[in-house]
Amino acid sequence: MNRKVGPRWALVVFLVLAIYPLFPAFDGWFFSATARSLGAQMPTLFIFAILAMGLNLVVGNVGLLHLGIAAFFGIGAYTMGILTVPAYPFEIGFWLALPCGIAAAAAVGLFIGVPTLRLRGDYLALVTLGFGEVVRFTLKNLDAITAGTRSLVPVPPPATPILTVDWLQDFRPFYYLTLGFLVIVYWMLGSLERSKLGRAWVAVREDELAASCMGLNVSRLKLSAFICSAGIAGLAGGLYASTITSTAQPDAYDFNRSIFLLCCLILGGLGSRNGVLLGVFLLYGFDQILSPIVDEKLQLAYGAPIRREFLGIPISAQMQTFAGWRLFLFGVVLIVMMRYRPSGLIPNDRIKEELPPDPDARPATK
Amino acid sequence: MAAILTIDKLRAGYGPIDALHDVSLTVEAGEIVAMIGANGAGKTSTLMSVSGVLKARAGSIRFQGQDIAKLPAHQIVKLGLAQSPEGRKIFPRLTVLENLQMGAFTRNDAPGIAADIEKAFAMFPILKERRGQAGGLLSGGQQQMLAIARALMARPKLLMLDEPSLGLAPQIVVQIFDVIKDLNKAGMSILLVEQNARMALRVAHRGYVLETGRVTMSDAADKLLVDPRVRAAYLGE
Repeated sequence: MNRKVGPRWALVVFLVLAIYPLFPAFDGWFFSATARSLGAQMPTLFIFAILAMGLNLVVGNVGLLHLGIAAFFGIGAYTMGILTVPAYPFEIGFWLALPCGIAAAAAVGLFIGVPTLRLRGDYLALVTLGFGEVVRFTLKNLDAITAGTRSLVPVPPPATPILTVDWLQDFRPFYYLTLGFLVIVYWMLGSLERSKLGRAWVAVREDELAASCMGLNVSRLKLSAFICSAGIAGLAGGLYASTITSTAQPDAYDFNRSIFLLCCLILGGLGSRNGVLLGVFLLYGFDQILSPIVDEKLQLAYGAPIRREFLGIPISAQMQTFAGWRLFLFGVVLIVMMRYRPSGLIPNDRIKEELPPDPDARPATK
Repeated sequence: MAAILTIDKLRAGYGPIDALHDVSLTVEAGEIVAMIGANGAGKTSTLMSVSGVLKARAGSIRFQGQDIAKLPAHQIVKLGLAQSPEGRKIFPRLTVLENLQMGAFTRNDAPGIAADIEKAFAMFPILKERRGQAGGLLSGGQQQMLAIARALMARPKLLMLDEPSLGLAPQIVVQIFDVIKDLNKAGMSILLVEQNARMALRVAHRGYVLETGRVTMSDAADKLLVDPRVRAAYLGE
């Protein structure tokens, strides 16, 4: 029963998202104070949702702690950049570069996965963490190829041979492009979860020993999930570079990004696609959309800054804004979640049985 | 009768320690062989070596004439060797049906798998009743039935059972051992590891006694049952 409710809700959400840009008046009414368009922010949100679902495959479904997803995201973005910017002779365009980015990220996933997936638990987390930092520093210091901190510009929008599309002024083309990819990834991961491979991943998470007694090739299964997630991250990276028309700075692919995505998974519900969507919408929505709006409104109402010191202690410039408090708020939210709802806002059906929301309501076993 | 499994001078262990020093045993086709011994004698390690989960350091393991000591675990299951591991190890968050499907992971014949699931349900009707429930919600006895049924889903030629009576009520133990006897009557070769030596030797044709990683005795099961040393050490008399 429960399993039927989940996908339907997602369908409603996707439908609302699909028709939303057709009502520009709504946009202006809601955000008149800020001159910002909500729609213009959404493509990035969709891209991070794709990235989070890729991460969820490894962390939620197979139960491996992966702390370096941002590196694969970066590899996808830089592959897109190198293959499309005018500074390089390739300029093969978005549609060819996107699969190249997926393949590059997946290949690096294979390369890093083969030796490390035999490690267990904490060791794998350390390797992926280290790998993420290695990639970031490589991007930064390999100036001749990646242009270092200047980043590769301009990454062109996708070519559309029949239609004439205004990619730069109108937010809607990228909105629908990224939403389309999000729906595809969501749907593909859903059918993957229900497949034989998906069940095998769950079996590996539950009990590796029993899984290998059943004839499951545990290390191959882990590797396949790791590569899939790297490929999805590469896809997200390619879309990201095209959407923001640059590869962004290497620091956009740092450890914070990986941890932030992990927070989205934990908040929304590990292993549950709907939960992951909700987690991304809440955390990134708060971070990228809500907090800038609140700051602008505060500034309009009170003039900035509000106070420079508190009880005689000077407040740093960052902490004088609402946005400056966001990491503090995330920390509080995570602690509250862990205490009261450790399986997330929309728990995975399978995990729900192990972690009931109320610890006292745990069914008596045996 | 031909030997289906021959273990010769097997040595295996964990880290710097050898758990098995010198284990040799054979299982003939159509036979139930019981391995008995105290905790830490090496019974589970022997099964794990045969399954390929624990790598053999020396000696040979031949299954139907083929040396499997160096094969990875997932290929050994394909050859027809399935294990129901100690402590049942069912997948608690997969449903009963999904647990059974997991047992058939190495197979690709969908109609055959569906037929075998029906067979498993015929053997254990309670599993059919609870097919949609998570495995972790079953009782201990039901979980053991599920573990055996899941191992059978690989269509093994040799079934290895590790402590099927562990933690079960005496009536359930009798029921489980009846199932083992019935399976054997239908032609299944079984290698059985048990702490409950009396039950094991009653259903088995032959038995091996393991002590600290070595086979110290081997004989027909009914002879071991009356052997004074076995009676003193394992049957509590």
